Amino acid sequence: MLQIKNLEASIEEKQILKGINLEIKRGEVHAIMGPNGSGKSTLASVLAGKEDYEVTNGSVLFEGKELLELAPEDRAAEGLFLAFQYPVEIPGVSNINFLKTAINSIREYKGMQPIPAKEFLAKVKEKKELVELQSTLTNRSVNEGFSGGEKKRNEIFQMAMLNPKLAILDETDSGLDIDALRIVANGVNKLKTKDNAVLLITHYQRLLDYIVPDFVHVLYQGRIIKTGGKELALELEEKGYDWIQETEVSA
Amino acid sequence: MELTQTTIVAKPLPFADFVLPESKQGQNFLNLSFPTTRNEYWKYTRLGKLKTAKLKISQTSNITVETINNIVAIDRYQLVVFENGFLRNDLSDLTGIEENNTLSNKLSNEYFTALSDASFTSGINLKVKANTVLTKPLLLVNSSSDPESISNINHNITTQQGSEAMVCMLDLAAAEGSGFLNSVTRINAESSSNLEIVNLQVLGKATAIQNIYVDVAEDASFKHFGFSLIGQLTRNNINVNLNKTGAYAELNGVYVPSGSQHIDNHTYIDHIAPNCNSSELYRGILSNTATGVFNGKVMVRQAAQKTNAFQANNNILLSDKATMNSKPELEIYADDVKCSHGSTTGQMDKDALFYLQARGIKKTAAVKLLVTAFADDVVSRVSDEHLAELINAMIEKQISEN
Ligand SMILES: Nc1ncnc2c1ncn2[C@@H]1O[C@H](COP(=O)(O)OP(=O)(O)OP(=O)(O)O)[C@@H](O)[C@H]1O
Ligand SMILES: [Mg+2]
Repeated sequence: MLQIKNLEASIEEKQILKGINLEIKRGEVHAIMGPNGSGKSTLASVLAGKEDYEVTNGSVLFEGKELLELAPEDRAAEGLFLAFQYPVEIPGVSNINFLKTAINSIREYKGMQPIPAKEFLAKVKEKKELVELQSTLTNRSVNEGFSGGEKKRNEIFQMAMLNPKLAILDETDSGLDIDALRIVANGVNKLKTKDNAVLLITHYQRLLDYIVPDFVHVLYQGRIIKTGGKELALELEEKGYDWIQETEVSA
Repeated sequence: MELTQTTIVAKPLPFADFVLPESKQGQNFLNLSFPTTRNEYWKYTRLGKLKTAKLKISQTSNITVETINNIVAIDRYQLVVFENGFLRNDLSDLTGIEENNTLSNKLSNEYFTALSDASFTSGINLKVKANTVLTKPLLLVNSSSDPESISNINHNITTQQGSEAMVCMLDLAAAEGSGFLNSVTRINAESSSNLEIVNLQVLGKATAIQNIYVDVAEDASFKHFGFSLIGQLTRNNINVNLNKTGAYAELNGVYVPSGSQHIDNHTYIDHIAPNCNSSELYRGILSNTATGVFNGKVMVRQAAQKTNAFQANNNILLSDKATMNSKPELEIYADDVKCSHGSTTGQMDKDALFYLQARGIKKTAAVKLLVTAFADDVVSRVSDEHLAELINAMIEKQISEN
């Protein structure tokens, strides 16, 4: 589904990603862990198409298409979804109007008619229940005045509404209380099929107890320096990143 | 008012080939000089083109009800139409309204006010009777259809004690037209009355200068909305006196200049009496090489204790060649007051734009969503929902065309 080859990217002349190689297949769950500032969100932003970053090398194939050549909105329409680490507040744009516009833009891209109002509302109701999103939140402006946890929940609600092929969840677990973490993780699990894939970015093993990854990667200073199974997360939790650094350097 | 040619004028108007009737207003006007950018009040608005324009009084009648109806559905309003400065009796319903043909006894030292005062050809006198509600809002159209015309209009509106009224003022010029609309509106909101004015400006290539003078009495409320959608050169001056305790003024505006258009809003709120509130919210969306000006002055006199004055001006520049000059001015002589003002000018919020795009929304649609939301903070204050919806649609259309 996704093949990242030797991806390098920089911002304001500063190189952040220094040659990322990663392959994600249908049905898989991948986790990326790594210290603050190692480039995890940068990778997510580059994949989603944020302009600020300059891709200096490498390629990304998504379902056989060269992802880096597509506009951000077309990447979304092709089935890529990014749950933001810091969801943006957009005053004056209602959540509902925003979602409807998003769904219809994607449908238009696929040559489909706009979603019938009834179908849309039924879907909103169903997906809201999935992440137990408070009813009033959908009528408010996008993320405006939402608590940290509500914003994260809203991201997963949007993911449920848009039903992407590949969802990148950037620290969706941080800021969630224990119950919310369970609810959100269950939501993600319910959305998981053998045809889609999830890339989790997280600092905590806790999330991976709920959403069990097939692979865990360690991103360190712009490179993936280690890949393992779910046990790797446990090991990191116990020993920290210094341990890997040392083993990698000595290796 | 008939323009009589009984008296000659020593100094002809720089931009128009006509003579003023003999009056002290005419004399007053002749003592004033044509404003230039050296004048602080006109610093950012150049009138050079107007100064050299060849303009004349014109009684051309072109405008039709359909033209107006295509912009604002007229069935909800009492329609009064002026074209090139003359009343279109055939299109107007003058129930409860008189045509204005008496000179104001005020002598203004503002050039264009003085010009209109001395030479206006028409206007309305509207008096909303005490404790009544104007059931059908007025749709007051001020149009220019002759590219060489100068229209001088002079309106008087009074809302008597405890009355309530809504007036929609539509300033209109044919897209290719380049006439000059000069209007003065004097408003008297008597005690406990409520007046709301919504001004839509669709002014094509015309030059429009508007002066509004408002007196607000005890516990009366005056709300003004200026939506400047198109206008090659538009200047709006709104001057409000909060004369008695409990008087309230709200001035709002959205301007959307594109191309090489220039839109300038000058507001002046004078807190004369104690316990008065005022609120101003102006938002601008500027594209191409358009320019905008906002100058908002709030004066709080020594007697005006417990004043509450809020002012904000926010602008989005959709192009790096657009410019905005924003200047809030506070002058406070009372000590127990709450005044705040803020002005921001910047590009579109990039993070918000990316967020919308990352959800599949096309960039142009995302810009439209964000800009409409930005303007809606002002538009949603319009009490007539129909009108608010219409204005939102007009703003959206304006943005999409740029
Ligand atoms: N706009 C920017 N300008 C300059 N440097 C930036 C910018 N955005 C990111 N960086 C730098 O890029 C590096 C990687 O940042 P990134 O947000 O990808 O880290 P991260 O791995 O997601 O960290 P965290 O775990 O704290 O979320 C950091 O050193 C950061 O300061
Ligand atoms: Mg991050």
